[in-house]
Amino acid sequence: MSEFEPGAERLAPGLVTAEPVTVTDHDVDHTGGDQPWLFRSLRVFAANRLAVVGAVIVILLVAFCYIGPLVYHTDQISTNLQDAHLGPFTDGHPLGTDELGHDVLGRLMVGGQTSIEVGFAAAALATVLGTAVGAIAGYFGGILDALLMRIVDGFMAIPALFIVIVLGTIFQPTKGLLIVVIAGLSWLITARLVRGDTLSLRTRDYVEAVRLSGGSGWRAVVGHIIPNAIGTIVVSGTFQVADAILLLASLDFLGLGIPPPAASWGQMLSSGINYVYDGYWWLIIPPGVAISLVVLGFNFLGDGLRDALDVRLRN
Amino acid sequence: MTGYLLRRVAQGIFVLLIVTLIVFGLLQLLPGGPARAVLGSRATPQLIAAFNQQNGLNRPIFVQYGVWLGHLLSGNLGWSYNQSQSVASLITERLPKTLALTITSVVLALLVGVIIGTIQAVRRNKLFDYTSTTIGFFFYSFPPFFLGLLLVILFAVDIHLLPAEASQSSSVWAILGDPRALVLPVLTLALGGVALFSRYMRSSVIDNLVQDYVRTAQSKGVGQVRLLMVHVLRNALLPIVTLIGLFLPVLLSGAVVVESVFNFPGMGLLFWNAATTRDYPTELGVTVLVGVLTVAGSLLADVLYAVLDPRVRYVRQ
Amino acid sequence: MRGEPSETVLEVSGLTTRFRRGSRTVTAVDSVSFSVLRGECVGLVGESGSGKSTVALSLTRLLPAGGRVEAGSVRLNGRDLLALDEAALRQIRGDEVGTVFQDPMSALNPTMTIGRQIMEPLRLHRHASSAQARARALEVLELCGVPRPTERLASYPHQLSGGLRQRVMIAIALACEPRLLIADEPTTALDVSIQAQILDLIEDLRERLSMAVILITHDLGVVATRTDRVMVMYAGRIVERAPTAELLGRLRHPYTEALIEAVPRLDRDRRQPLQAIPGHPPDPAQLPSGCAFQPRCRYAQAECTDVVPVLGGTTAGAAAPDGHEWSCLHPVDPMVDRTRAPRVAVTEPPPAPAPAPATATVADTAGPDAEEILVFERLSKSFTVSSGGVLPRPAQLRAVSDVSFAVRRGETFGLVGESGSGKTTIGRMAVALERPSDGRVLWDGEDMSRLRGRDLRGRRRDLQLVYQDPYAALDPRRTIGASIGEPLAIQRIGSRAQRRERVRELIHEVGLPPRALDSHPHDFSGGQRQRVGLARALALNPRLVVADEPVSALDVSVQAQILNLMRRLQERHSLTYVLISHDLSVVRYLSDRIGVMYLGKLVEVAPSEALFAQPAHPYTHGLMRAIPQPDAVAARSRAEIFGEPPSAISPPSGCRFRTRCPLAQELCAEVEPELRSFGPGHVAACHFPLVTPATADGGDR
Repeated sequence: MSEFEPGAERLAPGLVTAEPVTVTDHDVDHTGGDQPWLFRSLRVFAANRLAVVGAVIVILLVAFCYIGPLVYHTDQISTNLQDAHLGPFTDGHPLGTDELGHDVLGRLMVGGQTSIEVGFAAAALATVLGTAVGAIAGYFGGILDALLMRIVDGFMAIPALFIVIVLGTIFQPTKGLLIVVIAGLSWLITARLVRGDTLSLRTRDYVEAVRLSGGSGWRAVVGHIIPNAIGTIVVSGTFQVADAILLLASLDFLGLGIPPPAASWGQMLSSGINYVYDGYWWLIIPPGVAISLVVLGFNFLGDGLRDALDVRLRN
Repeated sequence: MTGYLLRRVAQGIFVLLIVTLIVFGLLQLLPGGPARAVLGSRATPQLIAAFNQQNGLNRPIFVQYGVWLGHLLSGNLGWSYNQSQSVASLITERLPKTLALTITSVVLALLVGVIIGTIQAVRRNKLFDYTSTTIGFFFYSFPPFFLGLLLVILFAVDIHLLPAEASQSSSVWAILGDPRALVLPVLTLALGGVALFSRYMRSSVIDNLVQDYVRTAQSKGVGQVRLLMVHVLRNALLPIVTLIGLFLPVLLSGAVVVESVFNFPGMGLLFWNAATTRDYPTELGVTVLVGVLTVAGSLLADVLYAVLDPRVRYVRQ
Repeated sequence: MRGEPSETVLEVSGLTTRFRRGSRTVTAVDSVSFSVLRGECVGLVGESGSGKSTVALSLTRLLPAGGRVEAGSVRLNGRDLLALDEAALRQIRGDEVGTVFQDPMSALNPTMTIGRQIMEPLRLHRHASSAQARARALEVLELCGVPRPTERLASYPHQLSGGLRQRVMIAIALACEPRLLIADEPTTALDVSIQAQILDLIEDLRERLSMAVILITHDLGVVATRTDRVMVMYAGRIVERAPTAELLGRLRHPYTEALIEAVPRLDRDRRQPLQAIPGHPPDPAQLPSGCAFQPRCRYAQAECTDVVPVLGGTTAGAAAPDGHEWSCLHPVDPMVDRTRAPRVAVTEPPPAPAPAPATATVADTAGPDAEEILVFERLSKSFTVSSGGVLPRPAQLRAVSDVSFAVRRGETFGLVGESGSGKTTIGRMAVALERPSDGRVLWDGEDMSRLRGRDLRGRRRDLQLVYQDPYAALDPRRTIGASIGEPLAIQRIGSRAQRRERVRELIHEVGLPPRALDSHPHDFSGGQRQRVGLARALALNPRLVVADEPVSALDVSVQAQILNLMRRLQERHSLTYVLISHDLSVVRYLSDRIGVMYLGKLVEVAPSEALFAQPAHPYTHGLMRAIPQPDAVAARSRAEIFGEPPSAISPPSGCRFRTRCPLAQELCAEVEPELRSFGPGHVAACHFPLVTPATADGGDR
């Protein structure tokens, strides 16, 4: 056994006290430090620059979308063709206006609200569902596991975009429906990942110890497996938000999302395409950058979280 | 290994069945039902009723499914609403072009991604690593349509270097023969993939570099280059192979968007046009095919994995 | 000593290695000096944190990230390796210096054939052609005792057993005929019977090739029987060095003394408690002031905290090969001759056996109130494994086959065997974590396999298990208090306050500080975690505790603490133990009766004394001989058990041990031996036992 490898588990952090130990005290140990793991996780997280940047981006964007309109009022409903296609930096319109006269900056703020709401809600729903299915399939195994996993495979074989588009052509999309549909397609990945974690955690001694004391499978799953898979769950959830926002943007772009005059970034992009050759770049770049930024922020966040939790696990 | 492969194939078939179930489910949701899908959007209610009677659409759902599945297996995917062609023939026209696009993209993404990832792992936490990781993240986060648009603006509008539209010719070879038109679509699809593969390759190589067998190789006097190329690479590539299978759905979704941005006459564009014109049979036909492609691709990735990993190929004696 | 003066192959002087992690710097190896002559074997012994493996890695600069040799010199045949640049050093690695690492599974490249891995150093250093390299690879595989070497060349590591893999590792290290072989814990990951084979092999090769060998291990027994000179390391320094016989007979350093006394011995009176060393080996990052051992040393005085002792000894001048040096201000009295410590002779015959039936029932005739409380009746357990064939026709792994024995109330029954013997499976069936495929487990007369639901849950209070790996046995996210209290919560015993109180009691009883209640496992060492495991097992006031390898993952000095603790707990709570271990000496220390298992079969059962005095089964005998004892006078015995363990999926016909038994004959392949009696409570299943079986009429046959 190599004693010193970075992160080697066999090194005990504490130390025997320096006072002379009497012969009769052979079997008593006086060591054992104490440090809440939450503090340590946060510290490691903070050390990961990427994660902090991601968190900052996300927070700023959320503020932009929700606090922004309170400060910077614009009319996103009524059209004003007189002011259409104004370039950026014109008076009163820092980012110009679109073809219906709406202020681009303001539209950006309001449009983001839908993306963020749908993104968060869908991700939350997907994570909860995915965790439940993954943990149950992984722990109880057998036919249930095989069946559930084949169903997951089946749904994963068809890319979400296709199913969502088909549904979009059949039904009139509302926000709630979008959340449900996106969640209904995103839970699969979480289920897969959580199942993987569950499979390896299931064989751990401390999980089996629950059975040894007469505990039920549920107790093992809820009390031990899920808490120890929290890392995977949280990281997966973070990436889910990014994916959901991307999916929604694609839908909007293809005209199958929430219809105008509701503002959305994807839709801004799709109408902006028509004016590419006219050089009206402010119709395209801001919404594209906005989508990319929020996705980037969550990706950074998720990656940083994954690193932080990984390190903690190794220590 | 044979056992492993046979089991995978059996699983794949089962998954395909589920795919058909899903599409069949979607079919049921259509306004007007399957009858309309076959007869077209202008069918009168009497025609529909007669059709339903004729084709046993008033029979139990399982039977309907069986019939539909039978059609599917014999290559009958219905008739397009708008284009006077069978869905199957439309797909046959378009599929090779999409395949050309996607395969080129994935091969490119793999090659570049693996190389970048390896370099990042070896020069971990140095300048190249940080910058390429950040750039990678950006490309990964851009929605494909935005990326495509940016590239178009950059290379086609501002600098007239590359065409904004893909070649419209009907044969695959002609398309491949016009590389300039292919560059932007492939690039759009591939850049996201490069970011993904390089990230995973990086962590895979790092994981391998701390393994005991690396230390053993070093104790034999193996140098850095040989260590990487001969020892680590093969082991590090194994999880990447699995990743290819998982990347396929992303690739195909991307294809839809990219083809619509660049007007590339492939299956993705076919799907998108069908969606905007509510041409349900075509939509569903393409969906089924995409499912088949994904499963087939995954299976191929599994075969590759079995070939590369001797622990799967040979059982313990 | 050999007749002619031997050349010095390796001379290490003042080697110091440090690790840098962020802002912390840890000295893992501190001013280590030693030399190795041609043809001799030098042992480096120590526990975790001692720095012994780091020394090995430092010699050829194979340190992990953050590690650097900061001072000293390493002269290989005169050349200082530390002064060479990387390219030159690479020439030496694998050519003049060969290294064998601990875990052969992870040390071999899983996607490269054995042949290529052996041929690699040949092609690198000897510029051998493909054919030449292949020929030499075959040669060296044969030299290392690998059967069917031609086939093996094309095999992959995962296709071989542990012992074979280690032979391959040795072959790789020897391919270029190095002058120096560094073996870093080469047998720690292997079964005892295989361990003996591998150590024999290394010794043979050393003689044949006149190699210098550095043998690194934590096992004092290995060091005692296989090395010419020994160095004991503690906290990165050498604390004592001497020729092996001298060290064992006339040790001076308190740590060496404590270490030897902490090892359970096959030849000592098992009634004496082990001399445990309090505390645990220090973390190199936080060394105590002065002498590193002083907090745990029973002879420590005030000045030991102020001064760091240096190596000094009988011969003037440092590092003379035959010299005896130690670093202690108050060394142990050399006049106590440890070669004559009180012991029970290994070869005395047992008292004359009372007449016993020739066929076996395991109903033993012990004391009047020794009722059988746990009975295994013809127990079998098979697991389904996918064979990987074309049709997924599942193969059966026969983990346990037709095993019957009984455990009496209040005793400790030791179940001994190597990996694959089925002992762990039996333990798990005893606590109803597995259901038998055949046969019954009777607890207090009740058939456990029939219990379900609430009845089973109730019964679980009586039967508990302590796990082997203290690092995996506790949920890292829960406090110690929560983990210990969980069984109480599951069984809904008492109110929350009462449970907390009980947990406090338990923590105190196993010798942990009260603040452990709210701490997390990662704050504790392996030994401490094992105490937590014991506390958890006791929470429900069980009557039977199955301990599955309770001390295997712990340092020797800590092992003794836990074993002593287990004994105390047993007395206090009138527990019955089933102790499962591969380590015969540990089992002997705690057990009243011992059962030996091989490949799913029970081959011998006997009271402890009888088993060690006169083992009847060749396997038991071979096992005992394979265990190296840290004894100056112990003879070096060669491995008796040869070959590799057969597959449990298709075990050998007749007697399962016959493929590795030196006494096997035709009968053994045809007929499976039955358990026969060899004395009161002593049975074994063998056609040609080492002791004559007892007969009904009292005479010998």
